[in-house]
Amino acid sequence: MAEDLVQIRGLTKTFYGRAVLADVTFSIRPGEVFGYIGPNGAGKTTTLKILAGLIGGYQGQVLIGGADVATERARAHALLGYMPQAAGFQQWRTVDSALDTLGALSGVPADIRRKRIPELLERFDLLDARRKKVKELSGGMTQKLALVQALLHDPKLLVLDEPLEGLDPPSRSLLKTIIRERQRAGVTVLFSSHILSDVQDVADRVGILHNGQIATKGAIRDLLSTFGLPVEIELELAVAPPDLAFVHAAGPARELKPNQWRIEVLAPDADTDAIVHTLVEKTLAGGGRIRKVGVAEPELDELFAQYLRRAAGGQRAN
Amino acid sequence: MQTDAAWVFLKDEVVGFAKSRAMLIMWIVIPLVALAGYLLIGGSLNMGSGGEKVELSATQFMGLLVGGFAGTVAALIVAVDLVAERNRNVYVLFAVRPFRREIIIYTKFVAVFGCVAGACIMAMLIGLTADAVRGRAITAAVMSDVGTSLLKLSLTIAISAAGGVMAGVMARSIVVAVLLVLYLWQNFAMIPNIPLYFRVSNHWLYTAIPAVLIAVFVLWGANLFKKAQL
Repeated sequence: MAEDLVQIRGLTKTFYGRAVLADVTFSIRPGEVFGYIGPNGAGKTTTLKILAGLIGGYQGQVLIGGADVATERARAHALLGYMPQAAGFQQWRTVDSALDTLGALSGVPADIRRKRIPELLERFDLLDARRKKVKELSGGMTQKLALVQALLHDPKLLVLDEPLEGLDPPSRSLLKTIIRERQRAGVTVLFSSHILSDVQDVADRVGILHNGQIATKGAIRDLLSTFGLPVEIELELAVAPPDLAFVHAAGPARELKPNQWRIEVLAPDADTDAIVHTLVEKTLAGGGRIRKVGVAEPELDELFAQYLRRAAGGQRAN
Repeated sequence: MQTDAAWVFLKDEVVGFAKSRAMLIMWIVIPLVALAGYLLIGGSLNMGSGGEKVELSATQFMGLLVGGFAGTVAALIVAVDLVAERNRNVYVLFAVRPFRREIIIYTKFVAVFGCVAGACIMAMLIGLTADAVRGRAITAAVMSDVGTSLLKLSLTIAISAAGGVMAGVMARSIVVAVLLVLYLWQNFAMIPNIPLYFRVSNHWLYTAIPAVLIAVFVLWGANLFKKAQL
């Protein structure tokens, strides 16, 4: 089995005596997409900045491709493409000049830069802005430019800090496509995001950071079962039968909107297929018509909310 | 790789500064205004204690004028640029690339020094040209004076820019950086001119001290920047 590309062991960082990160440990396999989530101020950006070699003075070990970020910075940086939460460019530069310099500093030969820069700009719909000064770009365009510079040197590891923030829906969709493409090309991606549905769309595994500690990590599906989130059945009727008692008999039902319910399956070993079957049968028998029925997969948002509720409960108990 | 990075940076910084508004003023406006001013005063200034008129060549006038503010301009340009770019997270994208972070500081210092010194040389050349056109003889003594003035001016600009590096690396806001430049680091810029003010003869000492201070300030600033949390 290939060695983990990213290894973070016992990472602890304090700012002015306050521990921002406390013994954070996790690793990411080559070709994996790892979503790093957590509430504001949890320490996500600090972790990513340490990984990118922007913050020093920490305890623990941070390795990229076996190179220690603290002592072998250049070797680690050669593997890294980093997109910060708020990227800045020198205001006097044009888009082209900014990318050309950053590419040159990453060691991309001039002939490859001449080919790759327009290709990437076109992909992100920025080709027309190529000769524009960076200061003339909108926030979303600057965000896309920040992503382009991270991809310029075809890095083995992409570290993206809130990459979806400020992007319009087409750009978000494009970014997710690019993350999947990069993954297929063997690139490892570590990204933080508040938009959990997007994390769920692309991440193979997630790590939840809370109060500076990795609360839990793993594949999303495994985490959902670990957290014991209730299985729910979603039922939407095109025409509702006059008597809806059977809906409430199946379990505690929340009405999401008229004629649409989420029914919680209480017993852990309950036969959800049988419950779905009963719902279908009773609806049809009562003269109703079904638009949609099935088991609703819990969302990462719910898992995260559940985790925070538990953490808050635990803190109160302490 | 480090040499390549330094070259890429130096080229970019020189182009960036040379095209900046502050430098455009230094390149074009200042020499023209100075020349116009010289022609207006008719080539003499009231400088003596008794108010007597002292004849000045255009070259001397230019030297006096640019020498008066070139150092401060260099220091302010470096300091403000460093703080502004750091606050805009510009260095983050440079610092995650495989080269030594200190190169950013070295190249910025060299670029600003080069640009401001270049503007001063240009002003002096305009002065020399004006003197030649007005029939003043450009003798070996005049050229020697120009050379000495340029050396002092270069030291003043360099030590000021080095102080600007320190102010820019230490401060988090532009206002603080400007105050540090004006009230702390600019005091060091007087050292190369001490022989002139106090009629001291051992010029070499007042050349060596600034040279050492320039190296200390730039290396110290680069080291602080290397350790800075971006």
